[in-house]
Amino acid sequence: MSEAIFFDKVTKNYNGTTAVRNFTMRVRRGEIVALLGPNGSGKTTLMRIAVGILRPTEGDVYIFGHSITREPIQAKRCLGYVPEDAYVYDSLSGFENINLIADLWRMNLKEHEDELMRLAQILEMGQALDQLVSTYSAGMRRKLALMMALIHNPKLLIIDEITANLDPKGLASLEIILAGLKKEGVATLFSTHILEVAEVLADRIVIIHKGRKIWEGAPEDIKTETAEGGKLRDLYFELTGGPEYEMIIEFLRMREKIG
Amino acid sequence: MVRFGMYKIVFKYEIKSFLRYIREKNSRIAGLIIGIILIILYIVFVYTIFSMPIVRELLREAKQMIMEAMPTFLLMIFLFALSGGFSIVTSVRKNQRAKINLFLNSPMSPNDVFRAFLLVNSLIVVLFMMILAYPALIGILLAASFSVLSVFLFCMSLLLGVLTFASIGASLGIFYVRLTRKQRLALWLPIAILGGYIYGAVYSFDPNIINIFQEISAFLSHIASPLRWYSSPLHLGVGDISELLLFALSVVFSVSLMEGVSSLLRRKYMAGFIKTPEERIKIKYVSKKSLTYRLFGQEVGGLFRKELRMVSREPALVSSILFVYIVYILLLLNFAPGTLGGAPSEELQLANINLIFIFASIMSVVPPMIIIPTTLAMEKQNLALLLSSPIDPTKIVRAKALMSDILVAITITLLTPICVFMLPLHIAVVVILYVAVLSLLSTGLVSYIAVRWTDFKAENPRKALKTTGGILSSAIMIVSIITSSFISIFLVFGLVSVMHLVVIELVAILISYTIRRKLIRAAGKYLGEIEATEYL
Repeated sequence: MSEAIFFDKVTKNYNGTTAVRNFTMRVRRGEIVALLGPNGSGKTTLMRIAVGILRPTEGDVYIFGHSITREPIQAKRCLGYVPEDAYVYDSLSGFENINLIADLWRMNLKEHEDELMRLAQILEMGQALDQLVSTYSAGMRRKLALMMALIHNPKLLIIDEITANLDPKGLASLEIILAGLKKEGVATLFSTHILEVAEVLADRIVIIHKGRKIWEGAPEDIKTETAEGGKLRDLYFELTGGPEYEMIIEFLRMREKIG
Repeated sequence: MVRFGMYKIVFKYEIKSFLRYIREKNSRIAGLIIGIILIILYIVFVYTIFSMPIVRELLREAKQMIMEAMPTFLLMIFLFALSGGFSIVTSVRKNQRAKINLFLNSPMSPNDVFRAFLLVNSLIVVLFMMILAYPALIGILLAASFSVLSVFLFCMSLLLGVLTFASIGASLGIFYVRLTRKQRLALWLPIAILGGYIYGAVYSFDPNIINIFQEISAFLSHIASPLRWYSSPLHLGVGDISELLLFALSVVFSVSLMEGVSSLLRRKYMAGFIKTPEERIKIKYVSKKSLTYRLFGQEVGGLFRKELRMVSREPALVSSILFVYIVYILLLLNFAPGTLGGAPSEELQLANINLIFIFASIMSVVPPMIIIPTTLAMEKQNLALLLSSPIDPTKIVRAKALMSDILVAITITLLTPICVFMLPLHIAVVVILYVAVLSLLSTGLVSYIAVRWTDFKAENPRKALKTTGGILSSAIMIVSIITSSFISIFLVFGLVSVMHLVVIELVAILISYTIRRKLIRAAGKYLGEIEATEYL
């Protein structure tokens, strides 16, 4: 099975609004794919469908061949999910949160103790793991969520807003870890608003807008796609619309007048 | 100098957000209308009762007693206001710090921000208490022939007092975040034990506690007691000038307290004194061979351990459970002896056995009712963590049911010696088996109700059960009480043989266990189908 995840014609409707429309995409083993799109384009919805906490209205998602709707337990066993807002228990310590994950994935944490401690050192969380999560900063919560997603050795990582709440050092560490995992055959699907991160990290980029896939390709393909042979930023604005320059100028003039 | 414009802005947005909250759902509008109708009915009822000549006559005779007892009554009311102000900030309207910070970032004077914050929260308590207490209080005072002026001034005095103590409660609520969980537990445990003891003692008519109350009442009625100052309008006509001076003293007392509290809160807040403390918990590897792991597997074992930690680190929940158990033990101990000594009459025997049955049945239904919906609502967005993990959602529900089983086990452990030593053995066996049946059934039912009707986005997890869920849970409680009454009648009057009853209960345990399993499975299936939009 070379496909880590396959979105098969996924559609999701919320109360009459279509968040995702007939979306098809594949991520292969050892591949890193970036999902880009403006706010509300459907990135998070797609990821939530992929991890089984939202049901697709139509279509299905297959994780290593297992349907997330029909074989959820087998499918979920392969994946690690890092949401934008870390889902962690405030009244447990960092370590207790990790221990819970170990229990849910039926793994013996003692066997992974060295691995866990090294990861904690990399993310500068060693001292914090015995504190209650309620005392954590947003960045620490995010790092803990990363540790919780990585500790059970997933074959597919799904990371929503990869840069959210991470400091430059944390993000650089994560990039190196993902590159290492890629060599082991671990696939990664992440979303971001920082286009440079997608250009550097991803093997393939997918742009979605209003729930539809509007572009897919490797970072090298961008030059051929844009009129001026420019960057991902140019392509992105071309497809999804750039800043409203005229309105911005008008707004600044209004302020000048008031001033 | 108080800037009223600022208060206007704060109140305008508070009212707007309240109206928006009501308009969000039709059920809330319906709830508000039903609430208003109930208040009108309550006022009409109060008016009808206190218009009756016999009631008026009785109250007129009790006028002196009302005057003397008022400081003690005020103590209760003010304590209630204090806890109301505290709860408003700590559980009902959480996230108050964000609001304070928002206003502090604006060009408003910090003094005004804190005054407005305390006033808004206290007024909510005042409004609630006015609706609840004022109609009956005014009715009683007027019927007892207090003058309209006295009643009016007393109402003003009471309002000011409630406002003062509610604002103290709200300030304490803000300071409360400074406490570590252990400190909170250390604070709540003695309060729960004392509260439970007083509650149990009062309801079992302990003469010692009544004497203590009388002494406290005499102390509170002393002229130097601020509570006496608040009740001074009721003494008008007895010594007008001195009573008016006492009334003025109560106003000064209230204003000084409120200003002092607001100023202290501002100073401490601005100095960064009020912040969540860092709490360290020692890392401890728990052997996978613990009993729950061996009995229920690693997944349920792990989830159960998580539940146990979460509940034990929730001081308010622990203290409320403890309070219930203290009251339970005291009441059982007080009701049970009547069935022993000499040869009690049939009526007394029935009453005592009936009471033990009722309390035992309440205690078998209360644990699932407290634990399952609360722990489920406490999950909030973390349900995404659990539901994206490779486990059957039934196991999530089963772990919560196990938590409730622990409390049921405590109930049975406490009940067994009391029943065995104080009741005839055959009745004790019936009671204990009945508790087992009831707890099995209620855990299953409440599990399903909780999953089906919990508001996962509720601010306060202890009040997260939706109206339908609340009604169904209450129905379980009522049915269990009625059933227990019938069984005790059958037992005392010998309408059914004990042997038959024991056999029926044993069969019922097997059936209840099967039903519980099915209900938990159904609850798990429903939980697995809940979309992330319900809790994220």
